[in-house]
Amino acid sequence: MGVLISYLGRKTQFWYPCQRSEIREVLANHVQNWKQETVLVDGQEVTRIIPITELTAVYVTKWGSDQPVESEPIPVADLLR
Amino acid sequence: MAIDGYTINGPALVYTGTGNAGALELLGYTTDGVDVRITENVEPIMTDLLGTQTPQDFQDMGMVAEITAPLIAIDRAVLAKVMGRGNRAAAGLLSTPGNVKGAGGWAFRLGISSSADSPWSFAAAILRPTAQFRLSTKAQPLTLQFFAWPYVSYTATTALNAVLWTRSLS
Repeated sequence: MGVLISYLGRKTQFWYPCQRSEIREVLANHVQNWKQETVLVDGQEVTRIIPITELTAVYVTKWGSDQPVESEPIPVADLLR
Repeated sequence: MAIDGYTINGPALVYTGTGNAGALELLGYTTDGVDVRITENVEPIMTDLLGTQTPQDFQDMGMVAEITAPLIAIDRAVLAKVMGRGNRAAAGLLSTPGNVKGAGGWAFRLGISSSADSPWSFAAAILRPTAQFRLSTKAQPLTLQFFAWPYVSYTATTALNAVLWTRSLS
């Protein structure tokens, strides 16, 4: 069981095994450590803060071979407000 | 672009893409940071115009990175995955000699977090050359050395723009 964090339109995912009671703490720590990125825009490096709205998370209670088969959405923005 | 601050990363947490579907999972954190060494491989072009010691030009020959992480706090389940990577049954056992790491899917993404800058993500890494540690009463780091390279599938026909590292979450 744990939190699976994804980013809209991205392949990157993060997996944090944890209890339900730890979800908020996991999200808050993750956002602190992965809060910005540097991307190329018209050949120029641009650093941007990643909006919370680009982050989605689910609490996974059962994994299949390669993806969750039982999970519940986590209201990220509400939890971190 | 002007100078925009000091080169501070913040705590460098080490993540490996060893989770389900290659998800990054937290391996641990270090005593005093992660060392990253990026090497631009170049081949000198020697000519008789400059003699035998000074290259006249260089050719690009790819780029690699070595990442050294003296981990003082570790998720042992993730460590077991990193050290058991391959077709071996467990850490401590051999994979089939000759097993190909990249094409076999045994390379993994390596992420270094940053609270004060953009994080680092190496697209394909393996444990190489060593995992080194001291066993003692005093807390000692387990130092893992990773080697990252711009992995290109054997089905590709060019290596142009192959990814060694990014600082984005793409």
